[in-house]
Amino acid sequence: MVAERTRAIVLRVVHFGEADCVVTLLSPGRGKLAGVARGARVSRKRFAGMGLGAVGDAQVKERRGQELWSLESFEATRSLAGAAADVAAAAHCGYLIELARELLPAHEPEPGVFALLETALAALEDGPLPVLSLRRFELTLLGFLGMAPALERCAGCGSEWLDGPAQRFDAARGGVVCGQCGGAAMGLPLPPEARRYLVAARGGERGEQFERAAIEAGRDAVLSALHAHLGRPLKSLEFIAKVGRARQAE
Amino acid sequence: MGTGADPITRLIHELGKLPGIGERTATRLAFHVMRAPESLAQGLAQALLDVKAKVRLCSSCMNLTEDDPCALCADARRDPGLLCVVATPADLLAVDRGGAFRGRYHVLHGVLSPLEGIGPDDLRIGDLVRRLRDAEAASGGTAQPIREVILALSPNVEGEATALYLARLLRPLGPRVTRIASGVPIGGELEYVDQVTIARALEARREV
Ligand SMILES: [Zn+2]
Ligand SMILES: [Zn+2]
Repeated sequence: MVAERTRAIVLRVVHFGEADCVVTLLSPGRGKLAGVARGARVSRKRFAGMGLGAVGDAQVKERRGQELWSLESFEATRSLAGAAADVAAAAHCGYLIELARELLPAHEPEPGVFALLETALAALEDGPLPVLSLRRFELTLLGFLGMAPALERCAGCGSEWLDGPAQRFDAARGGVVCGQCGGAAMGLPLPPEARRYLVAARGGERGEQFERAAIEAGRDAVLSALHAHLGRPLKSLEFIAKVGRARQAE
Repeated sequence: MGTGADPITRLIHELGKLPGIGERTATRLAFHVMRAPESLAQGLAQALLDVKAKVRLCSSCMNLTEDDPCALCADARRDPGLLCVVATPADLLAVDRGGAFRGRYHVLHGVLSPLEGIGPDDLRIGDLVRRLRDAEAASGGTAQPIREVILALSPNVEGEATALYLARLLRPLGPRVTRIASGVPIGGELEYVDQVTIARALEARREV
């Protein structure tokens, strides 16, 4: 098989033996794939700047009958300086990478997801992402995967009469549920402003200012949707919480 | 796997828990031990037990040591005013091998890692802060005897984030905080960098 050149984002680097790494990449045309990078731990020339979150040009080669491809070379085209500009930016970098890594199926090309992640990583050069951008990333990613939560009609009865009292967000049922369909025991409360906040975030609209409570309820709703799909907590969120606690203790 | 499994299977299983050792290698090693003289097994078993029983962390620099304080901390010829912070004992060895650095060390035992969920409290950062505070208190609280903290961390996202976090935390305690120059290739690991490069990177260190 011949090697092919592709744009790629590094999603994971695992040491393998003394000299090699197994690298998980996201590419526009091949989707998520893992490859062995022979000698990557000792020869840095062929793998310049290959770290977590690095964006660059890769040469990959399929190995007949093998799940693991071969990563022949990688050259970062954008430095990681931005993503490491501060701890919060690094945490966001980790979060975006972890979401892509854990949610995307292997070998299913999704150029839109690649572009979404590349743009978000580039935005980290200016520091941590605004929360609205994080929510937009999460909702868009879920959308690409066909798991977008319903926000504009009740996931239970389909009614568009929303924002009544007792409205909730129920990840298990697929999004917002009206007061008739939801029960206090199911999902999380989703006040009208929080629902409007999520609609704005999904569309990337920055105009409206939202109350902190609405922003937090919106965040918790999206995280519950992610959690429902992943079935386990995200390490990067644990990291963000730990850094937050350490800062408070300072 | 309980202790009920046969000894060979148990040995393969235990060896397979080591990093970089898959089932095939574990099997090969286990059969090698089987064929080798009794003395090999005894030496190996004793060395394994000793490493757990005798090696601990130096209470000052957190490096692995048999004696507390360790040989590096006890060496009076080393400048106590210069402190080099590294992620792992292996990185400490890499920096010290070159002989270009004659100060003291502090081992973090990892770096901040968003993807492993490793936060500040999982590292020896609190011990580092305490070390600087104690040094200042011992001097009568007038000046920070540790003049400079050199962060020798790999230049990848985790290393960068850790360096910035430490710089912010340590600078108010008085020392100059610098970072080794990135003569080390981006994403590189200190452990694998040659002595000349490390010496040059130390030489060309910059304020964080
Ligand atoms: Zn309904
Ligand atoms: Zn010591």
